Amino acid sequence: MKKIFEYLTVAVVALMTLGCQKPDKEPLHDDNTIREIQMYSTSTPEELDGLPLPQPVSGIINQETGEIRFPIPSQYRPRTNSEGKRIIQFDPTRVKLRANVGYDVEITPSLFGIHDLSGNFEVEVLAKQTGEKKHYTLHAYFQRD
Amino acid sequence: MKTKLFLAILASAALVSFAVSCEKENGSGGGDSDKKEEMKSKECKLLSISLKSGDMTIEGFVYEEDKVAEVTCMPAQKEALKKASAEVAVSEKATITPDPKEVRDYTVADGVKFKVTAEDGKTSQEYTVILKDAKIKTVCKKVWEKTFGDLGIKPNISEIGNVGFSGDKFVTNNLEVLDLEGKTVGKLCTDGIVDSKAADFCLTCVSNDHANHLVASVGYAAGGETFSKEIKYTRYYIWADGWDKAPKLLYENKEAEVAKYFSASGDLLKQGILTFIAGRSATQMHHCNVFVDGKINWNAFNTPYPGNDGNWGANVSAASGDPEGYFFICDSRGNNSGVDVYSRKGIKGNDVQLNGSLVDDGTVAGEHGGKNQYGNYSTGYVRAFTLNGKAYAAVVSSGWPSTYLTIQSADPAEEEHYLLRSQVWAAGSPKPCAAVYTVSGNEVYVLMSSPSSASMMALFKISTEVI
Repeated sequence: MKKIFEYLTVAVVALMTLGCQKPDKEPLHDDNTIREIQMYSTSTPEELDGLPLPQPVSGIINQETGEIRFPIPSQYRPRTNSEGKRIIQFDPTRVKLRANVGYDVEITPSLFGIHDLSGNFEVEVLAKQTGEKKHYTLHAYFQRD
Repeated sequence: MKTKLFLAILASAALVSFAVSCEKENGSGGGDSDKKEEMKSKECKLLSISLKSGDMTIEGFVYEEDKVAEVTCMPAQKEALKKASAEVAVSEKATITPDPKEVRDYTVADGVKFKVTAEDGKTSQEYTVILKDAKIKTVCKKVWEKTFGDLGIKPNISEIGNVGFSGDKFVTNNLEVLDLEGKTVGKLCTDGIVDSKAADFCLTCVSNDHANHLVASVGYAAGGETFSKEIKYTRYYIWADGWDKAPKLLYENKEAEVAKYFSASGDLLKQGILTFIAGRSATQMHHCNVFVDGKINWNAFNTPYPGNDGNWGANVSAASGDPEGYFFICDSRGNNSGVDVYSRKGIKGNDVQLNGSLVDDGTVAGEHGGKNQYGNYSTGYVRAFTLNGKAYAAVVSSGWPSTYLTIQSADPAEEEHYLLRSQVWAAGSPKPCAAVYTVSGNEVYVLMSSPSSASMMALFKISTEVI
């Protein structure tokens, strides 16, 4: 009886030890890409002179080169109306950005705020869990019809 | 011996130091110039460009990605751009060739090329300046409407055609001169007009050509010495030098009353057209006088519309001084059925019926819109003009007790046929009319005049915006 009890105790302990499932290993979030990005105009009502704020411009992303280009329709180029007033619907030197990126990344510099994309705007996307960085160069320009 | 050896070593060391320092000097001298070269800018962008020809300046836009500078222009501007210069801005310390200030033809098919070279003298980019046809939007806005009382002028309802422009001033047949704000600025100079000092003198009908020369008819009794509203003798005068200078005699008819229902078009001092109604008949003819450098070429402008049906409103107006261009015809109908309006290309072209929009827009009930939606009364007037190379007419009509104005193109089928859909004023006049002040090829003012004690004038500005 005592032996049986001992064997049972060992069996129970063994089962308990083996039965406890180890937690699944959490996958690493290593996506350091910008999947989508949009550029928004920051023109004031006075600059628009009654015209509507333009639709946001989607960036064309080349993941191989890291180049992101924003072609602004030519209809939004700055111009002077018949009353001599300067109309600015889109100014690539002061735009806002919104991007769709992976989980747990850090973008440097931050996309928050107003940016000048008339030249090359360099950003780095860091996947914090893996330390992998990806470099992007953003540039906005007026697209000819 | 040791001393000699020491001195030899010392001397050698000194020589080596000297050589090295020289090399360093030489090396650093070469390095400095390299650095200076590196410091020279490589920026070579065309930042902005405008084309100039005479008083005209057109701003271009530089598409940096394509290295193309587009200059958007209206059709009327292209001729001037065959001889134009450019005003440019380039990157700091960059240069541009050829010289943009040189006059050249910018209408060439492949565009005009410029090379911008950076300060470093090596880096350069080429840009092509090309013209692009403007997409335009025409906008018609009311500037004001005022009663004759507001304007401080007396309505004269003797004949249709009671107002015309002299430059940017409008003039009534009572000789009152007002500016575009409706303020009186003076009295029309009538020096040299026969019997213009008569107590009851007024201009019979007033209009202006598209060069904004005031033109007026004056009626006289037989013999032409006495101003008369019973007209047997007609003179037309033109104010070539402005409303405050003496006019010139433009045309004279010693035998007939041809002072009414007239229209002046183009530039009567160079090439223009003066039309006025002939004797009344079942198929009404209008005299169409084409003026070319002072010589008059008479034409018969025939219409199939009755001028002797007791409804006297009928006039023809040319949109320009080109007899092959567009004319507009207004013919009043009886039985309160309103007016008929047609467009015609050339003196002998076919007529295209036009319509107002009073009933379509729900502005008036059907019976008050008249047959063609210009109003149900039978007086009417048409004044043609050209805007952006296209022919339009201001059609004024009366639908007792209201006055209506429509501004429309010659082609009823086109999308933007109406510059102004039919408008209504709740004050009638048997003799409404319109005058047009041409500011430029793409901007005009239309003044509607509905003279009666209860009625008014209304000024519209029609301008063109590049989209």
